[in-house]
Amino acid sequence: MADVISNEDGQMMLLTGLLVVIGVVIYTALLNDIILTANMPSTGVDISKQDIKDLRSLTESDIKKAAYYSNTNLSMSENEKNNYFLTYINSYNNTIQKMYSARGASVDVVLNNVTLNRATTNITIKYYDGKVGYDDTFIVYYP
Amino acid sequence: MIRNENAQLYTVEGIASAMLLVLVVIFVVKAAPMTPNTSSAAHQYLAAQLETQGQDLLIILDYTPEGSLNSPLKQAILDWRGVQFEGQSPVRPQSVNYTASILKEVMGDAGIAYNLELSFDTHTGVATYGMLWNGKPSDNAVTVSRKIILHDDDGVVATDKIPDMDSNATRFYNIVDVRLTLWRM
Repeated sequence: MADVISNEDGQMMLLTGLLVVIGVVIYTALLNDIILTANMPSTGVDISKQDIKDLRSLTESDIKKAAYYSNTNLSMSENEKNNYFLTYINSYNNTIQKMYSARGASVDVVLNNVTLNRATTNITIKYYDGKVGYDDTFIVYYP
Repeated sequence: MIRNENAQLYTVEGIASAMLLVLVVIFVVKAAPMTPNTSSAAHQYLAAQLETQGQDLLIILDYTPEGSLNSPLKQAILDWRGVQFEGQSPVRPQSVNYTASILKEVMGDAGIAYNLELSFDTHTGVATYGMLWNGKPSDNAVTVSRKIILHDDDGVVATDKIPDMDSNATRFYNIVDVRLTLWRM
């Protein structure tokens, strides 16, 4: 009996077991953190998306509005209507540029081809916020 | 004396105990300061959820129902008299009050504090005014925004605050960036 008590080999085995358990706990915690981080939705990335979406829809709707204001003013000649349309879009472009620059993004609305009588406008919108760049050319149709 | 290896065992035991203690301390430190206002990586999911909620609410408020001229949000901007309403103070006029009550119902009653600010271009640069103010946001606050275009025929009331950026050359008036800041209380 005395010989069994004095034999300390078992202590080493127990200690090794304890160290293995600690290792497994650390490994599990790390793995859990990695999985959590990998599946975490990132905030902030969507800001650019929302900004671009806003810019596109606002530009499209306001070009239609500008065309409506130009075309419904019957006292104006075709040339005056064109000038009115261009002045309107110029004011819109200046204001939207300032609004976006206050948030650290640069935008530009370029009119490529305006045919008021054929009810189409070909435009290019540009967006850049230092990380995300977006450039799109499309045609706006209006009645 | 040289062949006695007991000290080695004691040393390894000591290291194991120290590791256990360090693990417990790390666990406690990571778990303890989790309050709703703590800004941490673990709250990214909640922040994303809050952002989606806020963006959805602005989209709904900016929907123009059939038969109406403007959306409730645009009407509130048009009728706003340039006054900042703080906390639970009575909100006037009716359209601004409607927006305030929707925000209170959706966000306030769910334990989410909010500030609604209007940002627009002026002749001296971009200006920002508070419309509904509930205090300084916490570190984990999120801001969502929606832009509203105003025209001359919309009839802006606070013309001293929101200027016409087109000087009556066309019917373009200004663009208002509605910014909703949300945070958990």
